[in-house]
Amino acid sequence: MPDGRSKQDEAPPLDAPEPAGSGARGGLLRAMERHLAGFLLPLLVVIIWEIAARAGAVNTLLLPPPSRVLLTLGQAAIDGSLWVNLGYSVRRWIIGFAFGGGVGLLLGALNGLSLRSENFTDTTVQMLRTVPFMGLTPLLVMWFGLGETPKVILIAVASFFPVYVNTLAGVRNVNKGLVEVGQSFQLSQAELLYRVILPAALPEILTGIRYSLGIAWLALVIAELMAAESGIGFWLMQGREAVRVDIVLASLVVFSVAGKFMDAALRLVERRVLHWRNAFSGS
Amino acid sequence: MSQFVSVRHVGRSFASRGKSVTALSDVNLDIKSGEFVVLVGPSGCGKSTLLRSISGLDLGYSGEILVGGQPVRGPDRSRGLVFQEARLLPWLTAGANIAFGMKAGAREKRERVRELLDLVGLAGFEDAYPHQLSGGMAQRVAIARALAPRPSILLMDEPFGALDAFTRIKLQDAVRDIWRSQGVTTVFVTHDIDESLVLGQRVVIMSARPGRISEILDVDLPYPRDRVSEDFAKYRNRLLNSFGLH
Repeated sequence: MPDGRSKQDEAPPLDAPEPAGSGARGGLLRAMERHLAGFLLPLLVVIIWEIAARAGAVNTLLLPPPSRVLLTLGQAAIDGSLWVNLGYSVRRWIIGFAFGGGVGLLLGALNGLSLRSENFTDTTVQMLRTVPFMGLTPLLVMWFGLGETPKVILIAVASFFPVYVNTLAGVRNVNKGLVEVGQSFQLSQAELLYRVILPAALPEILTGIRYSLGIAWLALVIAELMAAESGIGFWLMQGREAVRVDIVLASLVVFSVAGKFMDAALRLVERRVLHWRNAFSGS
Repeated sequence: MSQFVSVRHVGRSFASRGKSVTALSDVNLDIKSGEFVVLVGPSGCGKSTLLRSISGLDLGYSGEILVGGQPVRGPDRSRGLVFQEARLLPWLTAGANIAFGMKAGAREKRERVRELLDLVGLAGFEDAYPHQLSGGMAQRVAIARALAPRPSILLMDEPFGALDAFTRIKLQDAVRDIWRSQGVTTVFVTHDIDESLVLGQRVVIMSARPGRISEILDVDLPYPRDRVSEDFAKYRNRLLNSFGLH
């Protein structure tokens, strides 16, 4: 500006509102509450369970104490079988998700962009969506046997729908005004897609991916329980056959901890990628 | 000087609940290169429709629109657009938003972005994200973005309609200064009578139902214009009269 008058028109709200924490002590306490409060209840349950098992109040053959489960877990970790099995499980999970989520992303984006494509395919997808994927296991076993194929297919089928539904909705929610901005600069259809539409739909797409990875993890457990020669589910079935409740419990712990870990990792990615969002984040 | 924009017998109707609504009827307008023209009128007079037609975003009109002698067949990077909302891409910084429509190397982009941030009075805000900017600042970025590919004409559709009065006056001054220093032909749509008189060399007065041009007023006042001068008041009265408000 030549006259320099307009430099300080509106006060820049650059100081983004920070989530509380007045005073160092109050801040620390609140931070501890935010991070640790959720673990209090589970911890209490585990302690009571341990005491009950040691006091002989429960049959430890059917419900071994948490310390026993932990020990089993530790042994498996040391002899390496835990990591080998976890590796197999994660590999299945990733491959299945890559197929299902990938197709979901493509079809969701395609149907979001093209009404004609949606008209021809969406009804079919919605009909298939009502089929519970767990019900597919007998079919898959009959068609593909007990190898990797039916497992990966089950996981792929389960991961497809959340990505598809959220991508479609995300593309449809893109602000038309932003698309017009792209058009005003003569962007091609492809440029419009990857420079405007997909980034704008990214929050919804990531929600779909996160949800889908969770469901894929469930599908993995089911796939490995139907028959497997490797994986955490295989370990669980071994425990069941040997009537080793500690192994069954230990593998369940692995399933849930690994699932939780991956969800947290994805949340982190989400926060990184979507840092530009100015959304309500809870109070 | 030759006519840069030429609007000939342009009409536009929309279908609304089975009925046809005429938004523009037989509109004729010539705009010279380098001119600042304001389209003013009540809502429903078709001023935004006319602007969108010139931009190429709306091609459903009848008649003919020529820009630089060429018929408008769609949006073009040589016609910069500013909307009522800033419409910044929220995942890009202010700098990246400004460079969004440019076809140039990284260095050239960076230099042009600096230059434009200076021009709109936002030097140093290159890395700010849209959610960190106020409405007025966001609109300044939007103006810079429209100017980035060096358009031959700047089309502004009620760009300050959503801003408070103080911010609006500052942005009017900014747009006036940009136009005077860059010499870019500007077509500016507003429903604010004072705004039209502060900015326009010519004020195109439009009326509604059907949308048409009722009068074109030459504003023979030097820039920067004094909003409280007697001459300004005379023009304001003339405008109010032609809208039947005085």
